[in-house]
Amino acid sequence: MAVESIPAAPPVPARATRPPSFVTAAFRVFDLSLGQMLWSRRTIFLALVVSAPVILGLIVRILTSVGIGGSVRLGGSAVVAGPSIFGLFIWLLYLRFIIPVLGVFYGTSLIADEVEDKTITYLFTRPIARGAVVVGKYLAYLAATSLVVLPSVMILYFLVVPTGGGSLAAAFPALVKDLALLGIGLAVYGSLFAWVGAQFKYPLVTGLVFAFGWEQGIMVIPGYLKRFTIAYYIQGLVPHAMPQDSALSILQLVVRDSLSVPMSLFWLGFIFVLFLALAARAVSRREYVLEQ
Amino acid sequence: MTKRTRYFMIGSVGFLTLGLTVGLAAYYGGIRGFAEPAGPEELNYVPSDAAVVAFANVRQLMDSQFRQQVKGLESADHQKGQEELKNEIGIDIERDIDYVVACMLASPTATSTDARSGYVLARGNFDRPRIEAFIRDKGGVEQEYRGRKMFVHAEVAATATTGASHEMALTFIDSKKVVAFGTPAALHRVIDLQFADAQTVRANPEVMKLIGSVEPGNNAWVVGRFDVLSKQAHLPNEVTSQLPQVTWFSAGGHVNGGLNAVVAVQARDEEAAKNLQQVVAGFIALARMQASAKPELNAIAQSITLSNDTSNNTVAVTFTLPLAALDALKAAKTMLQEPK
Repeated sequence: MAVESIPAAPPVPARATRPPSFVTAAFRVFDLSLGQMLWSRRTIFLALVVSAPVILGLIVRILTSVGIGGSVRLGGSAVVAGPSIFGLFIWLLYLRFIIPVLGVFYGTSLIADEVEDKTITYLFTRPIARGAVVVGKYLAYLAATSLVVLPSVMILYFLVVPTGGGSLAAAFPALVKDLALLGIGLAVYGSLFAWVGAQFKYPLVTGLVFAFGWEQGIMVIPGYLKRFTIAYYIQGLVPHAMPQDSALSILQLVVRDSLSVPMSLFWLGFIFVLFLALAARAVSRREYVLEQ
Repeated sequence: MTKRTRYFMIGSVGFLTLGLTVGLAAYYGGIRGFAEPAGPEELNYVPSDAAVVAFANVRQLMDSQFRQQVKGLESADHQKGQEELKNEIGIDIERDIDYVVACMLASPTATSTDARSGYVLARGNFDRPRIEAFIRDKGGVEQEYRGRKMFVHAEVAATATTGASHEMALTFIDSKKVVAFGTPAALHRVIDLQFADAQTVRANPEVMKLIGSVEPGNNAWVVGRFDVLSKQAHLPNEVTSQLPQVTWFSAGGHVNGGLNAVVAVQARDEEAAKNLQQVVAGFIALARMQASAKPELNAIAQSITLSNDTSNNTVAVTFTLPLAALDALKAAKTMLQEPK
């Protein structure tokens, strides 16, 4: 009986499972994290924070449209001139409060939330560099906050600038500068607090102490210590973004002791790169022990 | 990325893009009725090289309490002149003129011997046939430039020694709503601008930046190049050399219950700005010292504030003239007029 020989199946080549590159990995983490960040409970806080200036702007618009405040003047300039109010909102609400607050709450939680939820293991067991996780999550933070903060500034611009004889056209260059300034602020504060979140055990408290204790306090003390704040370098850019209006001369006195624009940009860039690299390094080297 | 996240991103980026597009469109020409560029519409009839541009909202000024108070200080001749204007050409300055825009044309290379040129644009309700008939009666000659009607009147100046004559011209721009009055050469430029043959002042970013900063909240303002003006001011060399190095100046005022005004000058550099600030501070101190004994002037002197914007080398002075100060001036005038 003839025995038919059955040919052996050709060996299946082992699939090459090359880990994705750093950039690809960072983009995948960004893709995953952006949705998580946007549709989390923290977004309610973000919406509340950024809607406050818009509501105030709406109140200003209503008051000026019914004629209240139209005659309020300081020196020769109308205090209620729209571009002046817009400049004040950007300076006092966004740059001194909203941007640091968002930096603290989102930046410190980039890694800390994963640790707290005990889900960091799922990220770290993937064949991707740990640094890519930090960078991807940081980019998601930057996109999520920018996509909410910048449109609110745009709404504020259209609400407030035309009041008190202000011109949308004349204030447009200031708007562009303000948007760029807010983007820089979000990037630099986010980078710093991403490192705080990766490095410290109680990152939120540390971040709040830095943003609203150290930064606010040291800025009013003469001397070189203010160079160890981010607000100092942001202030170096602010006078060029604020409307040159005599009603704001008091504020300009406060920000007079500031660096030149190129120097401010250089140091902000340096801080951004340094702390993002430190955050990536801290996450790469640290051993996370998840409490059971 | 989920569909919801994608829609959110598209919506947010779309809104930002839309806002920036509208702002950009407003910056480069404006969107009528929504996002118009700084300054009145008549800036479209002012050339880009205008040395001085001024604006006054005549209607607001005339209706203001301040104006009603000032009216009491005006001479009878002044009021008679207004009556004549009303009777002859039907223009009631108090009601018929909405606002005026004026400009002075001077090249940066012009010297004190060069002829000055400029014009005033007035928007309001004008009786065009009556005005034209009046000009013809007074010897005005009708001319045509690029198909536009223009009236030219040779006015012999009071300088009997030189016998020089100045020609003044008038043309209607927008049927009967806007009228331009000035030197014939300047009005030729206004007509050229209507044919888009030249750039308007809106294309001059320095002037528009100044207008944008001085216009909000003010019903009268002026901006201009100080260096060009000082060259044409027939000043002695000794004085010219002592003038601080000022490039631009601007002044704005809001007139209603009183007068709130701001005068700002931009120095050539930081050093010049510092020097200028010190000089002005000295004058303010002197004014306060002089006014301390006069209560009616003291309020004005105390309202003067000086500020220095180091980012663009600008020194600004703001002051307030309250209605009470005008009452005091009226009282002083009455005292002077009373027979001794």
